[in-house]
Formats: sequence, structure tokens, C-alpha cells
Amino acid sequence: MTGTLVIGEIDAGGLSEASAELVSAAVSLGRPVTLAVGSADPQSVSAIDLRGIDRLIGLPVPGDPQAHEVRERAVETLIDLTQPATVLLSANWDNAAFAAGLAERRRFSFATDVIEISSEPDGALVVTRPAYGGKVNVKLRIDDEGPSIVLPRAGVWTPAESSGQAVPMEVVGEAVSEDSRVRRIDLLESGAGDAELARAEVIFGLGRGVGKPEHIAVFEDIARQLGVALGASRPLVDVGLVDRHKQIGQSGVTVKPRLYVAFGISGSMQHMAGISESRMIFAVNTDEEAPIFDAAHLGTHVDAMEVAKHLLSSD
Amino acid sequence: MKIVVCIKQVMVLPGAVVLDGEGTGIDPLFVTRRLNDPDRYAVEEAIRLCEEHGGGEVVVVSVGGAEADKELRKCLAMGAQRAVRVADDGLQLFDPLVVARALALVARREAADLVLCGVQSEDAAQQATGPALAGALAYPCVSMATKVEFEPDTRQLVVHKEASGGRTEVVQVDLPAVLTVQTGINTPRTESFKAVMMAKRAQIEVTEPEDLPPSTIQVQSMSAHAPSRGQLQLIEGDPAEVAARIRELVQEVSQ
Ligand SMILES: Cc1cc2nc3c(=O)[nH]c(=O)nc-3n(C[C@H](O)[C@H](O)[C@H](O)COP(=O)(O)OP(=O)(O)OC[C@H]3O[C@@H](n4cnc5c(N)ncnc54)[C@H](O)[C@@H]3O)c2cc1C
Ligand SMILES: Nc1ncnc2c1ncn2[C@@H]1O[C@H](COP(=O)(O)O)[C@@H](O)[C@H]1O
Repeated sequence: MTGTLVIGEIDAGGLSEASAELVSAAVSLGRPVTLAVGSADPQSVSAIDLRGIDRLIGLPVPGDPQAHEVRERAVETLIDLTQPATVLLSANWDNAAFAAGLAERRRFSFATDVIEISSEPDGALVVTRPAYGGKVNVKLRIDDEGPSIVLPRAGVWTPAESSGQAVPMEVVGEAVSEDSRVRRIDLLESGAGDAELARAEVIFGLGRGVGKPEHIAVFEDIARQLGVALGASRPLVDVGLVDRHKQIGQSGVTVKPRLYVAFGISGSMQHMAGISESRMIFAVNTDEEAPIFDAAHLGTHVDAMEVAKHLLSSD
Repeated sequence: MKIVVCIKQVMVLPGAVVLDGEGTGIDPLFVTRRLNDPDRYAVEEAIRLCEEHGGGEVVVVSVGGAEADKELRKCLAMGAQRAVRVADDGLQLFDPLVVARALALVARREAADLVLCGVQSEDAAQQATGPALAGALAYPCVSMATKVEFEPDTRQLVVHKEASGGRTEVVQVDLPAVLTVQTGINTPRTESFKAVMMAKRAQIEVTEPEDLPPSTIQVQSMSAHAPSRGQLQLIEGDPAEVAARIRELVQEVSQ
């Protein structure tokens, strides 16, 4: 087992941006890089010419690309065909659904949400991943000849550039079976987000730090007085304090206000996914180490409810 | 229905990061321990399913040291019937496969019809232990469940799950299966005082994780996340001044 296998994903525009990032991560390991795509018709995948790819293979994968048991089978087939030391898949929900299961079933090693990767002279793989709410980086050493399945986080590596020279597509293997023990019976477009919130120019975001019913009531008054929109982090929605349509983040609304003021929000990756396009982020958080300050333009460490008191009273 | 729920005691860092002497862990003095939030929802869902379908048994399982008993007792007070702890003995916090193997020992022994995990642990945040456990048990897996219905005639579950793009996927799966439960799926009950007192005295079965293949993963080092605060401007002043600044900004932007 020697090379690095990158599982590429195809979206409307061809190979996805996240896949090009994986190629960069793979190239940094200094071993031969095989980029593999699963597709109903691998020959129809438009030319791929990313720098650093030694081989491009396509596996016929019929049916629903989101059916995770089919994806799992496809990735397993690609691993068996190429015998890599390291397999890279993007850390996203579709891959998280099966990657660790595949690793356990086949006794591969596994690490997810990785933000750094390198190989040691002795062949071991070293990866870094965040933990403890983003406050700590953990460096892990994986002692395994491979394959090791590693899921790098999207948006960390710079996508590989094009070399101007398309790599020829080699179709490999037989079409994988479409069987799945998990059968989709419906897909609901849950009309998730509040359209007004998505368009709002000023949003006050409320988090667990102000997560008491009486706190929410105070902010509702403030929002009315100042004419700003209110949104919340997931935990407040989960406990029923705030309507589901007002949840901001990866599984909620994406907002793009000119001003986002976060009250008592720690800045989890899933929340930040929904506010990263804000023009200005103002964080009110008593914990100086809270990761939200990484992305904030303005900040304060005073108690959010003290601030709220003053936001109310001077009218 | 016999339901095994995997619950974890997570470590939360309320303030600054203080590492232990070796730099491979967090100093326990600076850590708060609590039941992983998604796991509370998983326990509630298991109790609800049993209640609505004529009984059964909810067994909560945790891989950890004796300090995790506190969380197992909390689940007993919520209404789980039994608690099992797989004694940690250096099991890897950052190798979900090893944890899944230890959990699989218990799930197999209990002949569980359904195994529930939380969607992710608040400290390790891997979203991997549930799928890994499904792999270990050779059960199908549905992750990020937001609604679960049991159809007794066919012994199938219909599960709503969060899908990308804000959509909800509805799937059908035969038992036995593993689900990972998303927060907000239900309203976890608060334990009664009496139940808490009873749970204090309850027996927690402790088993050893025997003959498990060892982990290939080792923590080499930990470091406090180096903040990238280049653009951050701290507002000096007391809450009144901060509030005034926020008002100013709101007015500027709203013009
Ligand atoms: C698959 C998946 C999808 C998810 N989707 C979303 C999503 O769409 N949106 C989302 O928000 N989350 C989502 N989450 C949850 C996410 O992981 C976090 O758990 C959540 O964002 C944390 O919310 P929080 O910041 O309000 O709470 P916490 O992380 O608990 O932070 C509370 C903060 O308040 C601060 N604080 C406490 N008291 C005060 C005070 N008096 N004044 C000021 N500050 C104070 C604390 O220092 C702390 O930083 C998702 C998780 C998963 C697994
Ligand atoms: N040590 C453990 N003991 C019991 N269950 C666990 C343990 N670690 C993880 N889990 C379960 O796996 C879920 C996901 O954890 P993770 O894969 O670490 O994000 C948790 O919500 C728990 O249900």
C-alpha cells in the first residue's frame, strides 16, 4: 500500500471545489495521487486537469449518489482496486454517514475533520483536528500501513490548480450494486429558513449564553425597539425557546447582514457556516477564548445580559 | 423492543485551555463534565419508543471511567432500565473505531433491536461513533435522525433525517439498526427527585473491554488553538458603553 486515493465528488460545475482541496492535501503527502470519481457514466465527466494527479479513475455508480450504502460500496471498491496507504474524502454529512463504518468493517484506520496532514519518515500519518469546541488542536499519529481513511475539513486547503493538461479517464471495475438497506421514501424541501431573516440588514443572534426564557423576552423587546431581526443558535431552537425558522447555521438559515451581533454564542463551526457572509460580526461573549472571536470584527467580554439592560433602557 | 443507547460524558472547557503535564490531554481541574447533549435526546427517544410500543427495555451504555457513572445514573433517573459501563482502561478518546468496538460488545450481548447514538460528541465532535458501531455490528445506519416512527407489523422504522441543503430525507430501514439522533428531536424529560434518589442506589454493571483489537491512533500532542484575532477590535468600556456602541452601529447600518 503506497499511494494516496482521493475520492472526488462531481457537482453541477464538474469536480467540486472541496475535491480540488483534497487533491492539494494529497499532493502534500508526496506519494502518487489517484483521483477517483464515482458516476453513473464516468466517461461523461468533463476533463480534469488538476496539478499533481498521477492517475484519474472512474467507477460506474448507478442510482442515487446520496444513498450512503451505495457510496460506501463504491469507495470500498475503489480502495480494493487501488490499495492506497491513505484515502481522502471530504468531511461532509454524506461521507460521515458511512466512512467510519467502512473503516471499522474493514479494519482500516480512521480520522475525521482533519485540518493538517503529513507523513512521517517512518511511514506513519500525522493529522491535526480541532476538539473541545474548537479550543484545542489535537495532533494524532496513525501507525498503520493503511489504508487509513481520513476526512479533511472543507475550506482549509487551497484547491489544486489546473495544469492545462487533462488527465485521461480510466474506467475501472464493474458497476456497483444499487442495493441499500436504507430506502429513501421521500425528500422534503422543508422550506427551512425565514426569508425575512435571510434578507435582514441587522441581526441579533442569541445563543446558549442568553438561553433563558426571560432573556429571550428581553431581546424580543430590544429587537422591536431597534427594528432589528432576531435569530438564534441551534440549542435555543432545540429547547423550543426560538422558532425553528430562526435557526442560523449549517442546518438552518444562511444570513448575510451588514451587522451581526452575537450574544452568548461560542462560534461552533456549524453556526459560523451560517454567518460567514456577514459584513460585520460583533461578538458579546464572557469567555475570552471563545472561537467566535476568531471571526469577529468587534468584540467585548462583558456579560450579554448587562449589555441588554442598557440596550433597552435608554429609549 | 430492546434499545441500547450509547451515552458519553463529555468534557467542556469553560475558559482558557490548560493542558496536562505531558501536553497530550486537558488538565482535569479545568474541565466541566456533563452528559453529551445529543445523547439526552437519544435517551428520551428510546424511552418514548418503548412507552409507545408496549414496553421493552432501554439499556444505557457508556465507555469511560468511573466518573461517567454520574451520567449513566442521570439516564436511569430519566427512565432507562439498566446501565452498563465499559471500563475505559486507556481507550482512545480520538479513535471512534475503538469506542465503537467496545460499545458493540454490549449491543451484541444485549441483542439490541435498535441502537441509538447522539449525532456527535461535544468534545471530540467526530460524528463517527454511530456509523462505526453500525459497521462493527453489520447493522444499517441512519444518521441525524429528527423523527423516528416504529411500524410494529413490519418491524421497520421510518426515519426523518437532516440532509444537506436544508432538506429532510425520509427513509425506511429494517431492524436491527443504528441511528444517530439529532438534538431537538423531542423534549427530554426532567428527572423527578424520587427517580434521582433511586438512580443513586442503582447498580451499574461494569464490564471489561476484552480482546479488542488495539487502536492504531495515539495522541501525539495537544495545543491551545492559536486564535487568529487579526481583525478583532475589542470595545473597551462597561456594558453601558458597549450598548451605546451597538446602538450606533445599528443606526449607521440602518440608514
Ligand atoms: C449536524 C449538526 C448540525 C448543526 N447545525 C447547527 C446550526 O445550524 N446552527 C447552530 O447554531 N448550531 C448547529 N449545531 C450545533 C453546534 O454544534 C453547537 O452546539 C451550537 O452552535 C452551540 O450553540 P451556542 O454557541 O449558542 O452554545 P455554546 O456553545 O454553549 O456557547 C454559549 C456561549 O455563551 C457564552 N456565555 C455564557 N454566558 C454568557 C453571558 N452571560 N454573556 C455573554 N456570553 C456568555 C459562553 O462563554 C459560550 O461561549 C449543529 C450540530 C450538528 C452536530
Ligand atoms: N465513550 C463513549 N461511550 C458511549 N457512547 C459514546 C462514546 N463516545 C461516543 N459515543 C456515542 O457516539 C456519539 C457520537 O460521538 P462522536 O463520534 O465522538 O462525535 C455520541 O453522541 C455517543 O452517543
